[in-house]
Amino acid sequence: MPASQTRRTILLAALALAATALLLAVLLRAAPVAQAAQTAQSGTTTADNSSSAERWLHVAVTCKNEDGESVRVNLPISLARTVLASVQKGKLDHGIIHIENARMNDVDVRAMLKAVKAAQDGEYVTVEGKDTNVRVRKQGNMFLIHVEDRTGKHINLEHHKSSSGPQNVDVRVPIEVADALFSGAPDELNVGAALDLLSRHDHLELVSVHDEENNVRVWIDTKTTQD
Amino acid sequence: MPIPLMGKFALGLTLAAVVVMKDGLIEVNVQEHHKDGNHVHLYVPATLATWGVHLAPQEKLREHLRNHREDLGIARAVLSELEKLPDASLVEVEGPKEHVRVNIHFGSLTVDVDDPGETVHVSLPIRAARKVVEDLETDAPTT
Repeated sequence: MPASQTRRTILLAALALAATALLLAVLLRAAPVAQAAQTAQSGTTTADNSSSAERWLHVAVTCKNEDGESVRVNLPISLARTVLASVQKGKLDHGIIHIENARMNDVDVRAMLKAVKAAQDGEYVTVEGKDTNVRVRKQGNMFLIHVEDRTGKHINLEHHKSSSGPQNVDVRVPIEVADALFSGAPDELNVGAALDLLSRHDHLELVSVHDEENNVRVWIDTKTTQD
Repeated sequence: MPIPLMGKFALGLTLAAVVVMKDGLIEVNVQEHHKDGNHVHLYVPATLATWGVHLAPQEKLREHLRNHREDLGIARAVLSELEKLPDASLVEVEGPKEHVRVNIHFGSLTVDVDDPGETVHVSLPIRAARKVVEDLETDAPTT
């Protein structure tokens, strides 16, 4: 083989190797990016659809103390629904919780729900105690529960110990959701059905807890973040 | 002829790279902050994890999976749902000295922990994780 041809062969081989190395380097970087692009595309689709379909459950725990922790959780309801549907363990059976006694302290919850659904708006339960006030009222298609605890014996969510100072708890539950929860057999709670109905709400404040040390907020909306 | 040979070699190498990289990379980055602290930074092709299921001793694997078939089903369901999600911050815990974040970023589940002792970053391609769990579920004995 002439020397010039040998040089040309070596040069081409070196070029091929360099091209391969370059391609490998690009692939190493591009694989996650390509996957990312695909995910981003599907993500965009999801985001677009989310205005009509996907709802996110948000939990925010904010400690007022400087040394405390803040916790933020964002979960799509579809994830919670799917996980619930796939679990069959103990009392949880594919989104349904089996309870041993549906008549709590001889209160028939189903009968009570049925009666309240048909009733007018108003305050149905008022308990005014020395340390605790409880109010349950119906407003439109919502149950509104307000608990004011002045005992200072409630549990501090962060440090798992008693917290001083008053605590206010507000819970808002759509009546249809409560209805769906008790829609199954008498000894069942249909959590899956309740989640399905919750996911129809664009924005819903579910729970808020305020005391001297913590603020807790649980809500549903279409955003993936808590901004 | 050396050129076609090199071409075949390059093509083979490229195809191998594509096969290995198609599921993305598992990244583990651990930086200890104390004096003489270690720094470990690994990139592992996620495909190797999916191959690992088939390369592991089947007898022992089946024995380990015998009681976890149901858990694998739940894990598969969770991963399938996570795979559909856009980039999002799932969990964030912020304390005076530590910061923990669980995010979905470009199709990977990322976990970041910053505390005075160490900084940890783990990134796991969700698709690959789902494939591994599916393979394990297939291999798991039904009883």
